[in-house]
Amino acid sequence: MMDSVTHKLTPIKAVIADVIKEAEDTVTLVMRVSPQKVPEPGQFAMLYAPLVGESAISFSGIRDGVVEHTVRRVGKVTTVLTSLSPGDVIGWRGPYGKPWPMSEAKGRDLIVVAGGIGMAPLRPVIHRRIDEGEAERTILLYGARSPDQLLYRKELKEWQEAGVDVRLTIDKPHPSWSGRTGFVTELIPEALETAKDPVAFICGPEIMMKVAIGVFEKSGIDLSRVWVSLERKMRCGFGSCGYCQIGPIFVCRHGPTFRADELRCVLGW
Amino acid sequence: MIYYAGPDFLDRVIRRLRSDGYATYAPSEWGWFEVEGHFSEPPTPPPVPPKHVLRKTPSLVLRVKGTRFEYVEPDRTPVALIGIRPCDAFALEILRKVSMFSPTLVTEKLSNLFMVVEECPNPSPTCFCADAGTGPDARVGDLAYMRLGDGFLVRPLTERGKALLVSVGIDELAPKEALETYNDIVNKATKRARIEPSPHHHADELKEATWEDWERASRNCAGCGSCSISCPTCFCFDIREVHEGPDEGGRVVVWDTCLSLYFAAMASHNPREKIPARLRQFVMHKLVWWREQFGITGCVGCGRCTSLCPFNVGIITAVKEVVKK
Repeated sequence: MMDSVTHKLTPIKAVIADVIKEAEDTVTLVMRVSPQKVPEPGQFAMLYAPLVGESAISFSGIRDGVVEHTVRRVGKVTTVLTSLSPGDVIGWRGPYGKPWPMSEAKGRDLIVVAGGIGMAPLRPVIHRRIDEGEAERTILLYGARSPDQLLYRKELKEWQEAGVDVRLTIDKPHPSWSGRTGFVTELIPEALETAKDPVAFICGPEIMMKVAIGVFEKSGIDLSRVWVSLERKMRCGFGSCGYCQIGPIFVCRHGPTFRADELRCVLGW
Repeated sequence: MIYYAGPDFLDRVIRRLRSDGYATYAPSEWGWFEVEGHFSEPPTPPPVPPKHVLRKTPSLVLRVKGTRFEYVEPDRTPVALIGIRPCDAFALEILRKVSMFSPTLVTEKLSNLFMVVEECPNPSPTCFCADAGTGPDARVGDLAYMRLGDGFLVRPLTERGKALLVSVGIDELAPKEALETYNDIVNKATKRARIEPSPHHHADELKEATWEDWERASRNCAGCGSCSISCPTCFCFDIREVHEGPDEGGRVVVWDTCLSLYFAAMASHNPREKIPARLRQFVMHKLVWWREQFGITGCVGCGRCTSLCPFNVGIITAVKEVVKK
């Protein structure tokens, strides 16, 4: 018999093992859970703050027995999630969604374009590239509104040391920032001079992704090699509640990662 | 085969189904009621679609005690819908197809559902089941009947339906004149159950409609969501919290509507902030995207989205506005 909605909506327990403060309003929750399937980079889970509500949050880290979710405080549920302490227990179900197509990037140059909290679902991609000895074929373009909004600051250095070409930018000049300023999409043409025949993964605000796709297209990159991860409001995570539909697409099931040329047709970009 | 049954047909069928363990429901002007015997002819269509009988919401899906999460077994009592209209019966077949993609709130009820369909001699002015290919005669279900004078003309549609007829001793074939009358009624009803422009025959125009077209189509739309709550195929639901104490309560599912402002709204932005975008979502989903998703139309032609709309919008008016330019 087919699973009922009820059955699929029942969460398992997740114990908070550690909470890492990333920015004033952002934390990374390290949690112990035992899902039936091992999560893949690009997938997400539904995090349940008991009796408050549930939010779809992507994996920002995947290790043995431990998963990480980076959460920014924007509403009721994320206010609870960002104020958790080690030892706390929340509800968790997943993994859901289509992962980043890591195999498409294997053996090729990969340009990772991240904007703001959009860095979170791309972090496991960087980890995977380093683990698989492809750090030197990976360029990370990462932009945030201000220096203190850059996530994983300690790790950014480690990634660089591991061989990843890390290029950072913040939107506007700031007294504590001596690096580049401007939007992250402005870094793409330069990265394309270094990268050969690349694949690209993009995640950030929708307008940033739209612009980024345009830049790749203008530079002659085939959009079937460009992938984006889309945010939509979700209630169930598995294609039942209907919330995340765009045209014929269920973002939770057909995405959240999409090939840029396909997504473009659906969103009319 | 069409059989003739006397005035006690519904009594016999309903009693039999109840003794077989079915909860028997029939539609009325005021919703669906549990019935034990004969009932009068329901409206065409009844205002409440059958999804609300198969899953009354809010419906508890999770019990929460502190950090203990308890699975709540869904109600699996077998249901027999008696007097369900052909469009609504077809809608449940559509939801069966949707369930193959992902479970709906009614999926567990569909696996042991029995449908005794009341065919429609008098379609409403907003009925377009003939265009949709879902009525006015029954296309799906286990048993179909039409009221004729004091009696009933009965058609078994499945083996289960046939077995039920045999078990209640209905074996008198309808006389030839009755068959002619039946055909005549169905033909007349089929002519009436059409709308021009037919919502089902303008997918291309809908796909090419501009923002201005949708603004025109939705100028009277209040975004209340009556259309999708009364739609027999709309499957969207919200999940909400209920509190029974400081750290006790649960989660409920509630039928929801894409016409509401908050439906798609995220912290970052709302992709369908304006009413034209939300009406477009409803209409396009039913008539265009549903086919791409599930290989079948999402609109059975019941007309409720227009007839129950406080401002007479719904699919009928929206399509008319979009295609008239």
